[in-house]
Amino acid sequence: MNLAPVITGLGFVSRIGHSRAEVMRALRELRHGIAPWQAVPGVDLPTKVAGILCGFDVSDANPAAWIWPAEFDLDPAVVQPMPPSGVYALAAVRQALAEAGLAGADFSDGSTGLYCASGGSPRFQFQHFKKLEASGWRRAHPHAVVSSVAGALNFHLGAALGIRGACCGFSSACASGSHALGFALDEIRLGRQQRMIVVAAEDLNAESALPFTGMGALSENPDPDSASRPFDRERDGFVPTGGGVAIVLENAASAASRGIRAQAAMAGWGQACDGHHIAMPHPEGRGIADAMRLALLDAKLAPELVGYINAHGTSTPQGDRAEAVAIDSVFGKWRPPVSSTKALTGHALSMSGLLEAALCVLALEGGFIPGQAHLAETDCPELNLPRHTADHPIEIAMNNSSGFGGSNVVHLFSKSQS
Amino acid sequence: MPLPAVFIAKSEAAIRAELIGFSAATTAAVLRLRECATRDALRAVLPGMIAFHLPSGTPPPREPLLDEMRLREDIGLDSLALTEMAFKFEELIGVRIEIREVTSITSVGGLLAFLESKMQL
Repeated sequence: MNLAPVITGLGFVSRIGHSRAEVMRALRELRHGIAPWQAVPGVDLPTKVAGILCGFDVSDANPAAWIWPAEFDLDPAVVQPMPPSGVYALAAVRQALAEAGLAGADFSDGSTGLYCASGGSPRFQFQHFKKLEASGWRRAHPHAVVSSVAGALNFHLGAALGIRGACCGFSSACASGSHALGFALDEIRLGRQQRMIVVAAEDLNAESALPFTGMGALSENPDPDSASRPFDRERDGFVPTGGGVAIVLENAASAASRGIRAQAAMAGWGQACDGHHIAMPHPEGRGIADAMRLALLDAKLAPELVGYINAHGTSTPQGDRAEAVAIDSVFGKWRPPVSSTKALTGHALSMSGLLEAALCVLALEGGFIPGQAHLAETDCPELNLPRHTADHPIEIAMNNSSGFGGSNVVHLFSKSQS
Repeated sequence: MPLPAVFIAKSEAAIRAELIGFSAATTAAVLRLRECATRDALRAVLPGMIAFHLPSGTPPPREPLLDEMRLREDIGLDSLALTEMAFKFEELIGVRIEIREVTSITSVGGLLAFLESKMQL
C-alpha cells in the first residue's frame, strides 16, 4: 500500500483568482492583483494599495448583508456567524474538496483531520468590544469569542464539515499556514490520519492591515504595478491581501481508492527559529537557512535537485535581504531559480505560506517556473531571480515562510511520488 | 402600555436594515408589531426570528408555534442561539435583557411571556 503523502485538492479565494484555472493563468503570466485601496473610506492614508478580493463584499457589520460570487453556493446559516476570513475559507474548502472527490463526504469516522491558520478577525473583535462597552460591559454577543479569535476558522469549519479527527489552529504569524501544512504532513506520515484538510484565511481590512504601519512594514508606494516588488532595491514594505486557501493532503492509497489523481507529492518539511528578535529577521537568515537544510534532510534530497524556490520575500528591506543570504548559504553555487509570488498576490499574512504551497503545486503541475515580477534592479545579487516565467518542467519545488519571532518553515514538493 | 420609545422612533428603513437576511414575513411581522403592540403581533414575529437563529442544518420550526413546545428539545434552539436571539430582540426593540434571564427560558410560552413582560404588552 502506497502511503506517500500526496496533494489531491486545491482551493483558492485570492486576488489573482478564485479558481485553479484563474490562479494558474495569473501565476504563469505574472499578472498581479494589486489595486488601489482605501482602507478607511474618506481617510487619506499612506497605504494606498492592496490585494483586494473581487466579487466579495463582507464589509457590513451585519453578516446577513454580505455578498459573495454566485459560483460559491454557500449556506447563509453556516456563513452568518463566521468572520470574513471564514467565508473565504469555506469557499476555498469547497473547491478543494470537489477536486479531491470529497464534496459531500462524511468525515465522521475520525480518519480526516483539519488544520487551520488565521490571525483571527480583528474587525470582529473591535466591533464586539465596542458593543460590549456600549452595553456597560454587561452584554457580549454570544459569538464574540468564537467568531473572532485566532481559532475561529477551525471552530467553524470543524463543525461545518463534521470533522471527527485532529482539529486545531496554528499561530506563528506569517508562518502559520506553513506550520499547519507541515504538521499535517506529520499526521499522515505517522498514520494518525488518512487525510488532512489544511486551510488558511485572512480578513483583509483596515483592522487586519493597518496595525502593521506601527512597525513601518507596509509599502507606501501608491503604484499597483510596483508596490510589491520583492528583492528589488527600491522595495519599501509589503502590500496586504487576504482571502482563503485550502489543500487536501492524504496518503496515496486513500486517493487511489477514490480514483483521484495526485497533483504532487509532499516530500518533506523543516522548521527552525531565529532565536533573535520578536519581529526582525536574523540579518543572515539563520532560522530560515536551518529550516531549508532540515527540510532537505527530511526529504532526503540534495540541494541541487531543487528546481524552484518560492521565497517568503514580502518586499520588506530587511526580510528579503536576510532570506537571500540564507538561500545563498544553503544552495551556494547551485543557485536555483527563486521568486516571491507576493509580487502578484500581496502578502496574505498567516495564509501566505499555504497559498504559496498551493502555487508551488500549480508550478509543478503546469511545468513552469514563475518569474520574479516587478523586479527592476536587485540588491540580492546572490539570488537567481528570473524576471520572466520559464516553461521548464521542475521536479522539486521549495516553499519558504517566515513569521514574527523568527519562526521559519520550509516545505518541499515533488512532481512524482518516488 | 406603550412600546419602548426607541422602537417606536425607528424608521421602517432602519428596521429593514436591521433585519437584512430575515424572511420578508418576519420583517413584515416586526413592522406590524411596531404599529400594533399586541401579544398576537409578538407571537407572529417568533417563527422567523427563531428560524434565523437556529444552528445551521436545523430545520425551521413547525408552525403554528405552540406554547408548550420546548425551545431546545422540540425546536433545536440551543443556549447560544437563544442568547443570540435575545440579543437581537434587545437591539431591535430597545429593551434591556440580562443573560441570566434568558437561560431560564425553556419553552415557546416562556419566551413569549418573557418578551411580553419586557415590552410591557
